[in-house]
Amino acid sequence: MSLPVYQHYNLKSSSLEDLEAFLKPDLNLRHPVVINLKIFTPDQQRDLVGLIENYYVSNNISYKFPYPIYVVTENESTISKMPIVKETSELPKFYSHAESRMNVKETHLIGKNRLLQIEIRNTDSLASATGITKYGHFHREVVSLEEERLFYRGIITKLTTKAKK
Amino acid sequence: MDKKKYPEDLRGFEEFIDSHPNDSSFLPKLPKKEVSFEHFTFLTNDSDRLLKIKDLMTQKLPFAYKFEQGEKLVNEQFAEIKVMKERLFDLCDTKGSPYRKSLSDVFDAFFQPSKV
Repeated sequence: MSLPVYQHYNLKSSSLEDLEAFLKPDLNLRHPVVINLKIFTPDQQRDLVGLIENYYVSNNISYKFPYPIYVVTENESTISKMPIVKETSELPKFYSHAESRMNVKETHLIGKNRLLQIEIRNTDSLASATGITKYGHFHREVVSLEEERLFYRGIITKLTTKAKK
Repeated sequence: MDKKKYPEDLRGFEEFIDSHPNDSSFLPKLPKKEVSFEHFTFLTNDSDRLLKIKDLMTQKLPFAYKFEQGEKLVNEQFAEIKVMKERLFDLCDTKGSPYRKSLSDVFDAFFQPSKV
């Protein structure tokens, strides 16, 4: 058992066979993953990001839960829905920890976390992602309409108070 | 007894230095960094994170599918905005309203024949 800290992978080849051998459903089950694509050209990097994302989406596996898969690439983050960074220094600090031997208490806690990780993995990833996106969309719409409503309310209040005076 | 030779700028401190030859124990010891506790806190935080994600995926999201409120809320907001727009229009349309007054000021400034 090990701490859930970043596992760095530097892809050496852009061939489909090597990528297929590298990508596994349990890649991000126990720890966050960082895939560095910087040795490739920007076009190759974009293709590889698309292939990696496609692998997870077509197999209905989440690349965000239980642990995220970060891709280090020179491309902009808008090219994919996957978490993308340009440098490893941009990675969240939460998972940056030095690994060392663990005591009994910590091992017990990791054992408990393993059950949670499996439980998260067994959920329907696609349905969850759709649900979260839908919820976010409605939430944003409600906020924008509420702003509009408050704007009109402000004008009405100003007009009525002025009329009373 | 041989006396050690010290540099010029340490003159006067020879006895003090000789009394602490190689012993650094008089220096305050830096506290040793406790790493395992850091790990325990990190694992506890991670456990909380996983628990929240699990609750979201297994309880909150299925509940949200069954009892979707977003569309209803948006429709209610639209209805309320419509009522407010109508009220605002009525307020602006009354005689002597600030909107009418401002408009008449603008028109008068441009189209009224000069009094000179």
